Amino acid sequence: MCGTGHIGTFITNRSGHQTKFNMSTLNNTTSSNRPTLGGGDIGKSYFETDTNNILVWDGSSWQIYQSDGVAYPWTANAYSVSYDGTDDFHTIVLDGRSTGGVLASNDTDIEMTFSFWFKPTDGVIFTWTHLPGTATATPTIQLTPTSSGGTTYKLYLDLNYRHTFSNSEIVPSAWNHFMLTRSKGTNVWQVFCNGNSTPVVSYNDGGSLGDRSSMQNLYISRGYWGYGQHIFDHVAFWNTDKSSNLAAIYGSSTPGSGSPSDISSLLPYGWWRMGDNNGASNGGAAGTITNIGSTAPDMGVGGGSPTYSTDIK
Amino acid sequence: MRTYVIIDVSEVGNVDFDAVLETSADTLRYSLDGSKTFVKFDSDTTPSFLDGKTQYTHSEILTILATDEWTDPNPLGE
Repeated sequence: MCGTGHIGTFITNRSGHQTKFNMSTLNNTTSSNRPTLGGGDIGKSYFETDTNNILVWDGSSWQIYQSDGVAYPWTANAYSVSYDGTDDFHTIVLDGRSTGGVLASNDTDIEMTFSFWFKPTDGVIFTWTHLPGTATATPTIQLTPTSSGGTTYKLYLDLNYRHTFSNSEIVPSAWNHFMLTRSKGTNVWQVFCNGNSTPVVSYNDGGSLGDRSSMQNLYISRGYWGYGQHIFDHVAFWNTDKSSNLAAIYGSSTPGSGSPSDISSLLPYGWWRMGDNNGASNGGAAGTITNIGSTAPDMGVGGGSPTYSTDIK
Repeated sequence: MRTYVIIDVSEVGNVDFDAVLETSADTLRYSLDGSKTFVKFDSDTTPSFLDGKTQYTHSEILTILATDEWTDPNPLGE
């Protein structure tokens, strides 16, 4: 069913004179009731009320412009989320399996960027897997300590550990920025630490990603085994390679000088600000973290009770 | 002050999840053999179902959780 309407609004100038402007609204429809138009209807547009998409007829089909409806104005970074290392973790239903909707179905064509700020103390930082802690669920990607604890970390990717980070690459008990990318043009994974444009890791998977069938959920401060005692801020995900936008994502072109910044212009698929859009208070329970990017889901508490913190970069 | 208490898995049914920071039995962390779990609370008042049980501080529980009873000493690929 389609509908239409008009909104009138008055603008008052300094002398008090009012002028009425009639602002037309788009016709509205729903995704199950999209009309089929003709060749003479080029440019006709609809607002789809169940998806918040805007549809524009190009003469033969609909061009669909995604909108998630809620616009979040940028506010200065004030909060992060702290995990106590016992049972706290967040998880995001981010299906990266070949049958999933986040990444290309063909391993060779995977493009992605995963970026976050974190202050590590101990334990697992993140994993992309399903059902952590079970023997049948080895992770696809994981950033974890070199032992079951400690503050020297290593990256598990494509069935093996690909890099052990020095304490100058990931600095313990300090704010770090971590960005993992994959390019479909080269099949190369890269890791950028703390704004350095020279990747710390550069690994070619040959067009095949091992254990991709496990790539179901992203776990923050939770791993294949164990939990992490860390503080996280500004977690973001793109299903494109944003390595050329490192400086914008890091907030500076100078390594070591960046801070969480407004990345909305880079259209992240998921962007979780870890409290700044969720009515946080210092020490308060960090429940669901709203995604203010595109179509990724919100970040939910998987266990324990993560808390908001004012410890920020 | 956050306080941690280890309980037997048989006692999970007695947990008042309104009185602790965990939300359900499904999200508790269990020991590797599945026989124990723990809960935590911020209140100065101990929930009654935890009366008489040993209470741990954050640093104390981290030490316990780092043992082989709670953490696999042979993690992935090592």
